[in-house]
Amino acid sequence: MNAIEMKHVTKTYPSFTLEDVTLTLPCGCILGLIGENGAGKSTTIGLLMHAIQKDAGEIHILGTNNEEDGFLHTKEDIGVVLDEACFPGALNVRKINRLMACAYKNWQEDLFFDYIRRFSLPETKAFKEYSKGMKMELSIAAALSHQPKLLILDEPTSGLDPIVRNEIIDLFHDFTKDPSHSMLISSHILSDLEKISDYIAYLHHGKLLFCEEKDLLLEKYGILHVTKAMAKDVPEDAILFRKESLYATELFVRRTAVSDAFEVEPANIEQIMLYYAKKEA
Amino acid sequence: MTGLLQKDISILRSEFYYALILLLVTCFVRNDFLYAFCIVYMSALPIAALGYDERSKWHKLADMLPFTAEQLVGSKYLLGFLCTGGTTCLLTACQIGRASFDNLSVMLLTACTALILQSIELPLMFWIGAEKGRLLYLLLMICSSSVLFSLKSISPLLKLHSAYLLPAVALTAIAANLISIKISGALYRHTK
Repeated sequence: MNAIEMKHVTKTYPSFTLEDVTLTLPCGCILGLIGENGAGKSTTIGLLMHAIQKDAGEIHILGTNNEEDGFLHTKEDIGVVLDEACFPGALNVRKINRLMACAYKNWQEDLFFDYIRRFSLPETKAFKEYSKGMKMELSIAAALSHQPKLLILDEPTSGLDPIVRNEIIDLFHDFTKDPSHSMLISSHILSDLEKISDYIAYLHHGKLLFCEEKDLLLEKYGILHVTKAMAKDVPEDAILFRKESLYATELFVRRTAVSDAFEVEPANIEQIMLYYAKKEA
Repeated sequence: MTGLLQKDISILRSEFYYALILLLVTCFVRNDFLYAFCIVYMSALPIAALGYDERSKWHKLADMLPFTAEQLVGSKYLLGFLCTGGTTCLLTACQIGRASFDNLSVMLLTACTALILQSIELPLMFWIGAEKGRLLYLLLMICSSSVLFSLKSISPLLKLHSAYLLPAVALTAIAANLISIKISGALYRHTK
């Protein structure tokens, strides 16, 4: 079964269109949704959770059409963390616990307070007095405390210091140890996504440029550092993009089209994303 | 819906403190205006709650949680009923305790009018948001107060029909709120 299935989904706003997005996340996998600010990542997440009404297409989450009444029940199995923590500022941890216990039938208070202790969050302090990192940790604790099968995370690590970021990434690692757990994580901190994702989907100006297995994507492309003279020996059809400086040339190449005589370095997600963005422009 | 109601009560804590002081003062003073002010103040608390929700972007998260639009909308109406009803009951109890029955009909009439105003205001708030909605609420209050003051000139006529006036306004308040809940639910879904 697929955890997420989006088929030809379109949403049009006066100044932005999310165009014909088709992507699939198999159960037990992690999908990294990348894209620049305003590319449509948050809109995609809103559409997945039916918080935004789509104009066209079809969305199934954990096997349920998200427009059907049964989706409310499916939401019990989904944990969501938004890019900004949206709990009312006056609430403290205990009140948030009570609120979430009313929202989720399978809410586990003990598990929630375990996370609270793990993150050393003060229980009586109002949410508005928390730091950004603490707010995000509380949101993650709330998203994980009803034992979800699918986690949907919108920029959960943006604006956080490296220590908190690593702590959060570790938590996601723990979550995905269970083979029935799936995760969609949107971010423009590509190093985080590269660490944990099985699939990468790239949204650019509302268009999905690719949605592929990360390892295949990394195998497909490479970086070649050569002199200008050596660059001439690289087959033209292998070169996808070139960056020239005074003394050296950096070539973004299709790995299979380059001879083994060249030492091709693996490309990272950022370089692949830049290539696709340039190709699209 | 209990959780949503508890959340609203928590975020309106300071408003409830002011209301408590106002209620204590009002219980010991015989003043139609204060009674009416108390009831109208309490009936406006769902609007304040919506304002807080909007500021914290709570609806963004609430839409992701397993809440229905009816629950999210209904909790605000329930808060309005509890605040308006509770205040009216408390003031009525004070009046009865003092064996003063002159202002009872005025209070009940005010409570029903406040609920009618709620039924007009809440769909607007769900449609255009709390900030713009607040301005409309003020406008609505000014208009309704003007109408009530102008009605003073025909007060003998009102007295004549006072036996029918209160049940009529009460029925209007119930009907208006039932329709309003449906409209608010539809508007909430539409704004998606």
